[in-house]
Amino acid sequence: MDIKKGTHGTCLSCAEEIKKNGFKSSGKGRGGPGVYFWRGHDERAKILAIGWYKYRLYEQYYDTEKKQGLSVIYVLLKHENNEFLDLEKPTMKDKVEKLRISAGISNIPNNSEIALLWNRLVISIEKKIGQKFKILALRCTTPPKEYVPNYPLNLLGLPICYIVRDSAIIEIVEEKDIKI
Amino acid sequence: MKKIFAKEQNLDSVIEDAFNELISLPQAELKNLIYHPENEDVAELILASNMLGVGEVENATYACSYVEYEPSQTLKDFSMFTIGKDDFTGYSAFTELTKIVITSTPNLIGLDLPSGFGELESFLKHYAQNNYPKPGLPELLSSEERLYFSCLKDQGNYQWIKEAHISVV
Repeated sequence: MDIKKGTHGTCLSCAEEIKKNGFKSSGKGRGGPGVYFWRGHDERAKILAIGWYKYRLYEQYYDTEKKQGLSVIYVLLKHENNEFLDLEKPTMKDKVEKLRISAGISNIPNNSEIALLWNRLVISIEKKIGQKFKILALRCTTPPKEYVPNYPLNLLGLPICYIVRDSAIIEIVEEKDIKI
Repeated sequence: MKKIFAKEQNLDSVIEDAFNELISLPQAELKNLIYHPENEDVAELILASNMLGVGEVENATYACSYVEYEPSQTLKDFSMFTIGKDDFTGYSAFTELTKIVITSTPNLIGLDLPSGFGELESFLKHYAQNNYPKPGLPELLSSEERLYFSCLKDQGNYQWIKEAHISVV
């Protein structure tokens, strides 16, 4: 059994819904469907979680929610070793690039195509092994810089996200309401 | 997904095999697989369509697929579906629209519908009553939108066990 740590920023109403009914998978994201968490419980992950919330607030994503304040949720992700696939391995990057070329997709694929390419690669592997990966790791873009001014992008590069494809492995360990 | 992956198998070599099979496909087929993953497995489509009301409705075709976590399970093992609409921005956004409680398979005879979803609600009620799709759902979805079905083992246990989606293709 392996345990990973993840952090998620959202509004208070959404956090209440999550605590009540659990996380729901998003159909799209840079690495395909899943629940996305910033890696870790440290200050860097918190900066990203808050930045993501601020960005969505600016985008009026929470306008229909009753409680629009910030909540940061800390989770543990428990899985067996063979249920995890690291898409950041250079060999996986090589494969997705070759897949792009083989499929005749442009040199600069759009976000949707990036998600579809990763999704196809993962699904094909899953079909081969007869098992679903419950968690993936992939570097994802940060929220726009103005929302994460303290994230050291030049030092760390794009942050790693955990993409959880089976919500049953998510354990919420802490939820913090933060005033900003 | 008929095989169970054994820990002692070399994952890297399996990944390599899967990848080589994938890129050996003709480009048109590969593109179709990438852009329309829901069309991949006809058998899954049929099984899912039996349960979820998927099929041809007027000029639109609903495609549906699901991910099977345990090969021994089928959709009949599940007693409730949650249907939600994805906002396609990623990062855990999922708006739950309704639940379908299955009290007897294969017919869907129990529904727990929130108000305010108009045609979708009508569609689902009609489906529940007649076990057959009704024209109307295509207007609810643009070509880029999908409705997601999550299949839950029982109403009290909100475990994300299976996932299916339906889309206008």
